[in-house]
Amino acid sequence: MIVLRQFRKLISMEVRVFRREPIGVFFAFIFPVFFLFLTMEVFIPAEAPREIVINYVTPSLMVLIIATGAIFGVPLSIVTYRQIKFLKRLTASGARSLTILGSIALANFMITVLGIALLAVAAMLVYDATLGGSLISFLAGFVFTFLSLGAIFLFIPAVVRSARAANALSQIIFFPVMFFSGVFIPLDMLPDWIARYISPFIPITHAAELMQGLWLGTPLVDLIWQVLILLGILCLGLVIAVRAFRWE
Amino acid sequence: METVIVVEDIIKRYGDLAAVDGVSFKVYKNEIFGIVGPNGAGKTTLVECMEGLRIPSGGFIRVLDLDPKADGYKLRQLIGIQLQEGLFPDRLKVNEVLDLFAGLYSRSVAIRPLLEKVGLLDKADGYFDSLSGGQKQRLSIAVALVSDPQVVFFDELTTGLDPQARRAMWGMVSSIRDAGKTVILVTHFMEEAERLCDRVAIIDRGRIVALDTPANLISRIDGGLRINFWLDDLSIVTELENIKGCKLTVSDQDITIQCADRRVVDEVKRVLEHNNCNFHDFTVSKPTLEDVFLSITGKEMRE
Repeated sequence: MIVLRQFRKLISMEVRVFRREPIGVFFAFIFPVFFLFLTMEVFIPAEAPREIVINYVTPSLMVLIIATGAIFGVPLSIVTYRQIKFLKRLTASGARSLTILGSIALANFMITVLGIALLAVAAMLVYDATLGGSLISFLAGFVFTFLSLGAIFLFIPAVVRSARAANALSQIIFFPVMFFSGVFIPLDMLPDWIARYISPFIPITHAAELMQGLWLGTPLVDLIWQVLILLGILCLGLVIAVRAFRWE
Repeated sequence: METVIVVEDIIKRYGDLAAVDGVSFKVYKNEIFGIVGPNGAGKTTLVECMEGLRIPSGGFIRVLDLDPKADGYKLRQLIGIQLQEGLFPDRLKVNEVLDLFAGLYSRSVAIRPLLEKVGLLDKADGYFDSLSGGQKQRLSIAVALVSDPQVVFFDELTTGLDPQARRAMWGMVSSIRDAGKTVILVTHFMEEAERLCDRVAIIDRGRIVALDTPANLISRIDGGLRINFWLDDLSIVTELENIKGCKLTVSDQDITIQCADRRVVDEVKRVLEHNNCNFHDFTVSKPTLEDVFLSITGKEMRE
């Protein structure tokens, strides 16, 4: 099947380009693990029960990894390739648009999986983190979160032209979104008005709640709101992407 | 002659502006077909309609018996495209770029001989961002050829290259035709079209203003030869004007004479020398496609 070979070639190209960019590798693999140690050794009060805290911190940092790919990885690849007309060059070579975009998404998914696996290993080996829920539903929730966040941040390539602008916009979005969604700081430690009026409007907040719930083993019925909200975000993201995406 | 491309009455509008305004022609197998004209004439829009990368507003196109609009993906498996603009990611190596594109097509040629053909074998392991302008251009040619296409489109192949690299590129294009392929060459260099193309369509403001072999196009304009020189003293001009078959124009001290054959050239020289005139920079040239464009449209190619 030629489409499968096209996927294989495009994914290995994307992974190769990623591998050769040290900053990207740092943020995908090293930064989350570093942040895990920083949180556990510096941020957490000494008297806090670490064996409990780690099971909140680990899924939060997994959302950090997913969000990094969704806010930086995919949009920046698309905008850069579009800017240098590499997207057009690929379309001119018999690959369909969906194959090209799908490969970029899949390559980033694989990078995200590896980042999450590294983090999980560090959390389990060093801090005895344990998955309280079922592995299957956790993995399903992870894929669902990746798709939902990946889709909503596809608006970035639609609103900027240059890679430089995409990078700036991603930075502007990334840090506030991380702080106000309970990923860097737990929601109940944020000022009340932020937790009440800002956090619910950030997609990452719901992603973090879902991933924490699935990691801790909260019954799925109690996570139905998070699932529905993320489903809505996924649909919204796809609609915006289909309507506003610019190929050239 | 086997017809490879049929274009009939193609129109492409952007709002009120017609970038391509009713263009028709045929391209035959194993020829280099030139599409020439000034920047903004609609050349790239036209070829991108043929490649299925743009959808024309009206008209009929068949490339290798396929409709680029309906069968774009199928068609692009069979043709090779070199885009006017278009780079590759900086951190990909030359052989990785070719391996990627070879994998996108249902058939492909071996990569090393291809690299050798475009003179990039010693750069196979070099990153794209380490290549010179000419090397990048040669890589983009290699990408256009990696699927062993029957029809190859080159768009502004030699723009930005130095004269030596340009000549090397011309040799490459000829050899592609000699290997049995059909080449569509878009260029705003008239000299390039004149040297390379078997037939040339001259485009201005979205329309074809002339289509023929370069030799036929050139023979259409009056006067086979052109003499240029300049004089210190213009008093001789009247006597020069009286030479039979001589069309003379004066601008400041520059004299341009159009004439049909070599005998007039000898006569002009004889008159000048006989009168002990001080004449300088005496050149005799044949008209070029540039002059053809000027005589048809009344404007210079390069503005």
